[in-house]
Amino acid sequence: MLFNSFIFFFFLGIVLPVFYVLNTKTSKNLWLLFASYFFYGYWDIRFCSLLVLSTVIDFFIGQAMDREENPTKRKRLLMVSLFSNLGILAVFKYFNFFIDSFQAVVSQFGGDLDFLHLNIILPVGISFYTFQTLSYTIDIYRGQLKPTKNFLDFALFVSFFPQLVAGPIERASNLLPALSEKLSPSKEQIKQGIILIITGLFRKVMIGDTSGRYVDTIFGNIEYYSSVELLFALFMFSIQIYADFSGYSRIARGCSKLLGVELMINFEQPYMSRNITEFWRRWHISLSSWLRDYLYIPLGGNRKGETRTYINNMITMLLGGLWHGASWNFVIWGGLHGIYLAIHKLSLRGKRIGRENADFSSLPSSLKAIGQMAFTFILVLFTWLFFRSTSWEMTTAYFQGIIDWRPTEYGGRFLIIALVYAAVVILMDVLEYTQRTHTYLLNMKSVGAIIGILVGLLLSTFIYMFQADPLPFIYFQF
Amino acid sequence: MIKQIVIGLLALGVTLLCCEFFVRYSGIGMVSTSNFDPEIGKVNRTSLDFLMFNEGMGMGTFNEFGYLGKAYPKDRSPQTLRLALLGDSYVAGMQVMERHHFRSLLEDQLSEALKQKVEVLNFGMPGADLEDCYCVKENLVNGFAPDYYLFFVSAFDFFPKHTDPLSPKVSIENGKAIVDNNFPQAAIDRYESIQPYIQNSALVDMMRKGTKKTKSVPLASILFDKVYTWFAPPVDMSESSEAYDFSSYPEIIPAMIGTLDPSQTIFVNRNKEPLPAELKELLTDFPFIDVSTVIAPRLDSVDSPISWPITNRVGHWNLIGHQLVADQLTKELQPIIKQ
Repeated sequence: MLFNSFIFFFFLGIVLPVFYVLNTKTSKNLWLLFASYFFYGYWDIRFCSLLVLSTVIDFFIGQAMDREENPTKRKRLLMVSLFSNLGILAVFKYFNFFIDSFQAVVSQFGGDLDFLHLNIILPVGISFYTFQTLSYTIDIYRGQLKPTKNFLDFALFVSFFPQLVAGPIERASNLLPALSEKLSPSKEQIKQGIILIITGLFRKVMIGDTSGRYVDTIFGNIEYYSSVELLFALFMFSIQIYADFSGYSRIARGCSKLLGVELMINFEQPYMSRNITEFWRRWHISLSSWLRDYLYIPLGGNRKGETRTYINNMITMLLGGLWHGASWNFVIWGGLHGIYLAIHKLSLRGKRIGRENADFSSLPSSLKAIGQMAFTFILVLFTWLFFRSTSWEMTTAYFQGIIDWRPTEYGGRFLIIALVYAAVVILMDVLEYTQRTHTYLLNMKSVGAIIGILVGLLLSTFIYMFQADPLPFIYFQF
Repeated sequence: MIKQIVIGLLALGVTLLCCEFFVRYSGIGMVSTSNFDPEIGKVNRTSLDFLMFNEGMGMGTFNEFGYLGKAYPKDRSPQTLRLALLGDSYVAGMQVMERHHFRSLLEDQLSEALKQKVEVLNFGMPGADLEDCYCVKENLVNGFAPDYYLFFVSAFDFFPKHTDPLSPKVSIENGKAIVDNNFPQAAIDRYESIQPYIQNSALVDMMRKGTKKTKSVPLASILFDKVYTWFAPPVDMSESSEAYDFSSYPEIIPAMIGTLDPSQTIFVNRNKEPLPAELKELLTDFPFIDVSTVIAPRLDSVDSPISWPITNRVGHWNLIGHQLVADQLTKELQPIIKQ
């Protein structure tokens, strides 16, 4: 079920009242578990079996690991969890990719591995819930988390519908304790939840989906479009992916708040980053922090010397790229970010960069910050080409199309469109950046004004949704 | 309380205005492209850029003369060859950019082949049938004095549906086809009451399109998505050729065709299937070009001229389709024109 469909709002219209009426923790969790499986099974009922499998394996491994004191046996149990979860992911997501890549080599010697190709569909959001359940067993192994003894709570932790298919990738240490209590949202959470859902829907539908129409058309027919139009589409993709993903995360957080659960913030105005390190602190935070905690640090992090730090960083970014999809393009995308991060780290010469926002108190400092943000954005924009292209051939054709300069008769129109989209995204981000909250509307004194703005945004979004077909969320494929 | 309601309404208004601005200038939606002329009924608006997303991305202009694409004035040079295209959404071609439209391609290719300046004027109108095209020809196109009128038709265009009361109709007087430019006052009043809104607000026009959508897709299926199909069988809304008896076309059809000048009129079958023999018989006096001969053989190929993989639809000519149609027309028009 897509968040940006009318049926989701009917679904929410049934789930929430029943949830509020139920008055025991068990009945509430049972209802949410049923709703979550319905939500997931709405795509394809068969997907639920993987969810059940992942839940059962990790629940019992968590229990066994807690009882076991022998480090070797504990490690073995962790391996079972890793192999089963990553095994499912490997089969469904990466098997064909590796066969295709291997086939490219074997075919040079006349071999054919086509018969090994599996005719399977990728279950929606598999990468997200796999990483989430992995964090549970790894944390137990490390002794950072006590396993839950309640199967219902754990099953809900794995399948919690607001963040099941596209994150934020929650840690068990954050979500499980919340689900172990009787959920009851506060008034403040309900207000914040409604604002996040409406503004998230506006972002996803009105900015993300609509900019995606330009992107899909131009990327799908590269040879028909001029250099200016290709650059325009690349810029629009940077808007699309941000609005699409941050909008979705926002709806997820909003729905979750309506159920009394706080999910982590996934995006903090990433295009306002002054350098690439800051970008990764603001972009897809739940994934980058997951990779840091469960991959970069176990690899040794920055504790094993300078060279190893760079290597660990590159491994993390390459695997992070591969997490996004079974394609070499994603690996290149991750690799480019790895190189950027390495260069930035090198340029810092051991100096640590702070987490404070940019200084806009004076004109010189503002200009400096804006220049840094623009430069970082251009670096990121370049990498989006690899991310959006579906193959290396497409990437090179796109580059070629830009380099073989051809003007367009619609340059002015495309410029206006790009500026309008940029203005809306920048306005929303600047408000969040300066107010330091995603629910800045609540800072307004007039309730009437808040309601008026929300109704206006929702009305416009629904009007668009009614006459257009809903577009799936980009990250579903990951 | 009243103060909050007033502030709320003001905030709503300002937000909708901002959204309207965003929707219009970002190309998400656009204002209505039609106008009502009391003399000749529904016409295109003039000097209006359009950007539309349907199967593909269409970008172009309704020029200052009210037709699509490059603007050629009514006065013309005698050295130029002028062609007028008449037809439905296939001819309007609002799924592709103007430079990819077969009109532009044909103009360039034909100019080069004939070593003569060729002007191709696009009078295509989405939803137009043969009767509508005839009325456009009489009311508007004749004023541009084209050398040739190209009528793009499919079998269904021979069976006018009269869906828009503000479009002119054809009646028969003394056996001759006459364009009737009288429109029901109630329909004029209704249109004029909404015209300022749909012509000035993209959001309102989007609402109108949404309402229109419910005529082809059940409302419940838009709202309830897959859940709807659990309870209701899928409805086939497509036009079925079996529903037509092609020999019993309305009497205005031969009357209209009878008034056309065979030395200036060319019929083009724009459908992917050949025109039924009963209808083709009506056109024996006219040069006839059948585009289905280049479209049909490619339907099942990866380069199908009517499939839109990005939007996952099958329908109008895509970029390949427009090129094929332009090539076919360039090839077949040359001997006709030289003759």
